[in-house]
Amino acid sequence: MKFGYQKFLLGLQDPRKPLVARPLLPVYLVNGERRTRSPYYALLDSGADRIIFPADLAEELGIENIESGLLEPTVGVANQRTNVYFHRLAVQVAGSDRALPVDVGFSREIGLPLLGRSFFAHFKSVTFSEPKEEMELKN
Amino acid sequence: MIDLAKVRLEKLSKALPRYEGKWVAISAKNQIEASGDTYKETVDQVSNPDEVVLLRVTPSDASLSPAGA
Repeated sequence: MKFGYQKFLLGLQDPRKPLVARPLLPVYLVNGERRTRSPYYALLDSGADRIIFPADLAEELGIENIESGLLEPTVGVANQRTNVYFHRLAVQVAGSDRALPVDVGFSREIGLPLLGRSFFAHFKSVTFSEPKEEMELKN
Repeated sequence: MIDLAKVRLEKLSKALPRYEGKWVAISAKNQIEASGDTYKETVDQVSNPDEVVLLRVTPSDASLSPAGA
């Protein structure tokens, strides 16, 4: 499966700056028979250990209390610590019929959904091509 | 089912900063169909959820460095 990067403006003050390309993958989150109604973009992050999503995605799947999950704090590059609560769910890449069983952490303090290397582990390889601005996931 | 190959977020470069911190629902025509503070609030406003993809809008005045999660 190949997906092109998505490009964003970076720096409102200077419109001459180039757009920044980011590896955003469209996915669904699955909890048993329930699935998010629309796909949503998550950042493929090879520097992240885990899958961490904003807490409001749990609400969509009927998980009313994220704190019922397993607490595992996380720390970011600026040493900021965040409590994350992990639940056994599945992630489905848009366009694929496979729902991959994964532990998904929810946090009220995270904005962008992140797919770390616990997601990568389901693939034979995950390749980022900066010249082509695309990512490829091979089964 | 939305044709995701047609979604090019760069076409929304000028519009997205107004939605910082919010979810937006984007169609294959690269139009923002709905927005909200939560995923549910946003999808609830869309007539056909199969025809949009959602994005949580990050700040446009800073680069991303989320690694470490």
